[in-house]
Amino acid sequence: MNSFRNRLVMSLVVLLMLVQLVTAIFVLNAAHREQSVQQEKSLDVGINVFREVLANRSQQLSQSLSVLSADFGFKRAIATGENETILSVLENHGSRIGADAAVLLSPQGELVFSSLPGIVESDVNALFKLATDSSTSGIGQTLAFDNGSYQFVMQPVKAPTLIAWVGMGFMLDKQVAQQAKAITGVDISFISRDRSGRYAIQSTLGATAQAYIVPRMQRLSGLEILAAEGFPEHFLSFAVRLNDRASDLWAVLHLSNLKWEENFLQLRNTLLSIFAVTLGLSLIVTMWLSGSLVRPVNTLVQYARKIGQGEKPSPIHKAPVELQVLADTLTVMRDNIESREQDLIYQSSHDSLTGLFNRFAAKRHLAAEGQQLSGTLVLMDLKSFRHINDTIGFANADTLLVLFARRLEQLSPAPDFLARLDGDAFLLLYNGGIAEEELHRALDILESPYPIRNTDISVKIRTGTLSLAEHGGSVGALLRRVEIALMQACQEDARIVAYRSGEDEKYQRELSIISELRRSVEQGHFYLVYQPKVDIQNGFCSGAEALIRWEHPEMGQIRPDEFIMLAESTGNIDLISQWVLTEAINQLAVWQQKGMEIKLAVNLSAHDLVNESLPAIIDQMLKEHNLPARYLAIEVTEGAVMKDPLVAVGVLQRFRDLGISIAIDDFGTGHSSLAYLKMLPVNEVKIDRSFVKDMLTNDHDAMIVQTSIALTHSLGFNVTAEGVEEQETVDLLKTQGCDIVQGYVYSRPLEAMEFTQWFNQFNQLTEQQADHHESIA
Amino acid sequence: MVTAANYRVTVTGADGLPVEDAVVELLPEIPSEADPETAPLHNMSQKNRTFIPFVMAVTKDEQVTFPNLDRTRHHVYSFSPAKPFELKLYVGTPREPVVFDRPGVVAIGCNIHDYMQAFIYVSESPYVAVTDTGGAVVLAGLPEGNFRLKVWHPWQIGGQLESTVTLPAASSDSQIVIDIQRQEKPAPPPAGFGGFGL
Repeated sequence: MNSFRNRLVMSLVVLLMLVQLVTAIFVLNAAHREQSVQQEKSLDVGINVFREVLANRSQQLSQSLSVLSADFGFKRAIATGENETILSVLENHGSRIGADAAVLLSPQGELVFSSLPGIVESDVNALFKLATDSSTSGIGQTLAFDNGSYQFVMQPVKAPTLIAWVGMGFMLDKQVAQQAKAITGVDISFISRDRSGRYAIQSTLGATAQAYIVPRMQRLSGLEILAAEGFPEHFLSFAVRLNDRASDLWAVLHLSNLKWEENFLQLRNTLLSIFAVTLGLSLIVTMWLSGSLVRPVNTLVQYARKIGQGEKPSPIHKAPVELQVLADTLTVMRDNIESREQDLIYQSSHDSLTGLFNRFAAKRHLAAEGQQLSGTLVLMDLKSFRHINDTIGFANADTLLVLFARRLEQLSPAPDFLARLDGDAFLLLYNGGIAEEELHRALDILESPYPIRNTDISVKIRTGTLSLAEHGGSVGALLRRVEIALMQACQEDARIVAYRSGEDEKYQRELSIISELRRSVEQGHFYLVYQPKVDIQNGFCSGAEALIRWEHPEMGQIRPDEFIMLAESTGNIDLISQWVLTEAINQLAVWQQKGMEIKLAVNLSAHDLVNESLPAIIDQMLKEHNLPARYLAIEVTEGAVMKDPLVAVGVLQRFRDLGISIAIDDFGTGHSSLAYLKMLPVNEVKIDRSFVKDMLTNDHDAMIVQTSIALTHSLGFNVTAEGVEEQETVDLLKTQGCDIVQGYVYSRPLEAMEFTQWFNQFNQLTEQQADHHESIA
Repeated sequence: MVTAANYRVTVTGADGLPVEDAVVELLPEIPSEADPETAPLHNMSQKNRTFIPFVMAVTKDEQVTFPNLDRTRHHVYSFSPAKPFELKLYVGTPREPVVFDRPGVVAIGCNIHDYMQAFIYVSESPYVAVTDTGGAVVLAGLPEGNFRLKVWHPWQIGGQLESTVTLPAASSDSQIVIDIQRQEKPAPPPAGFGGFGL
């Protein structure tokens, strides 16, 4: 586990192990080196003593031999060639000094006598060389013969000139080795190699050790230079070459290092056990130490964790200084965070200007109340606050809002919840509801002048209310409904408007309509119907008005007066107009091809009338279909023209210039003056159905219609009567000089196919009647 | 008898230095008998444990006495084939001189003092002498005729040197070079055991 404590323990233990390891390596190495040095010293002593032993033997031999060589009888025997005497003297002296071999050579080196069996010429030569070489004469040398190795000494026999060489040798056998071992304390092996390369060994070592050595003789040459271990095992061995002239004879000294090895192992084991104990103890101590070291850290960690989880743990005391600083810092930090959090919560839920709750807090409050919510929700709005703002400046307006807020707080009855939603919109919640009179009194207080910069500012308040008992719902719905109520209060310029059922649904439907408009245009949910316009003076159908219809797959039929207004207010009317124009001109082109002479009227909105590029667009469309402009008519309402008369008149003039005829729709309903009418480039005036509808029964209406017709005609325009449902009306209109009639008396608006059929039938019938009349006439 | 002549021979080593103690013998073609009456008696004395002289030349059948001038006894012997003899421990002059009746080299030693060494050259011819420290020898009273010249030295390498000489020669002075291994002449060791005078 990657904890602080474990790391601490691990580091210390690893460090300790490292130190121990290094110590062990050094101590053991030093011990080993020291032992090696001591062993080598011991071996060196052994070697020196051994050499001394050999030298002593040699000297002894030499001395004994010099006695022999000076013996007069011996000399005489040699000089006189008395072989028997020579032999007996040699045997006698040989046994006296304990020699194992005796030889006699002539001054020229020929063999005279030898006790060595199987002696060959090279042996004789070696002996003669030993005799004549001044460096070895008298001190002797070790020689290997077939039957063994000998330490040999040769001496001249002089009488007084040289008459012979006499030599004697001690065999280097196991016994010698044993003697040497007794003196040196070191095991000794005499190893010789005969001419055929076979090795012979005489050794004080045990049989197994000897058996180990024999097949490993090739190591001898290395051992002459440097003492080495493992020849045989558990021995430090050094080879002394006994024959200076040839590599055929060695004395190998073996110093047992078993004792050393045991000592070394014992030392190693002692060290290991000491280290193990130390390590164990230090592990325990380290655990204990680190525990006491880490405990405050852990406490701090727990403390920090709790703070991290937003808890408020009891502060830490009496920790080590550094940790106490950390703990204190954490405490301070936590307090800071808490106060900052409270600030944030306050800021997020309060309006910074007035200190009232904000929209967010209001929503939360309403949501928190949930099902328990009851009473009345009141939404207030300062009438024309923008205007006030512009008049007295932002700073003063803000002051006004603050003062307003203060009055709200002091209101009686006091609202159970008060919030500023945005700008000049204030929300009040009366859990027990509030009577309208009470609210009026409250508004009276709120509307009393506000002294700002020595000026009294008066405000008017519009209020929307929502009875929560009646119109409960989601927080969003509640706010939306009270806003709708307020909106209506504004629209109706009423002081208080309570939310009425259905408003919200209407509002929702309008929203849907707005959002669906564009999609429906794209998906072809719109279509045109055509209502015939009949020339009543001649009885012919000469034109039609194109009317838009919207069949929404879910919402069903949506009436034009509903969506046109919404399209206008949301700026989507362009889309509609464009579609209608395109569709109408396409239809015109179809009829044109069928030879139907029809002037098709299209309704344009106020928005279209300020679109100065529209005439050019329509012209382009007509040209594309090769349609003369006289087939197209445009109908505009008075109201539309009056929105921006200057531009509208210019646009209309352009239409006129193109040859498109223009009709003023719904004449008589607006506030249009005759002066304007005179100014407009109009061909036709349509009298609104509201006058036509009742003209048979209402003399006033009949009068208005008649006057309008007369007036219009006087201005040089054609007159169309809309909404004619009865033949009597047609007859009356005819007598009054009305030019064209449009209405159910002829046909409801028809789809293109039906209209074509109807048109052909109607005009055919008229022709027939005309023919009939003619024929009658 | 022809008028006698002197013949001088100088013996040098290969190193050009004169060789002392070299024996020069002139052996006439016709052997001349030496007069036994006039045969001299030679002395090979021992003084300070040294034979004096180191090399002695005698003609065949001549006698040599071995007077001991030291206080110590000597045991003079020779195992040489020319004359093996032995004069057992004695002081003063032994009663009987030794007659060297066969030509050859006789190596003389002392059985008591191994380092004592001397050589007696027994010549066939009466014309024999030993070179002095200058390596010279003068042989006098020589008849005319052809001679074999023999030169011997104990340290000689490669045996006795022989050549021929005809007298009277153009030059009576002859130079001979022999190959020898020079060594110290035998002498007693400086002191015996802790200064005992032996």
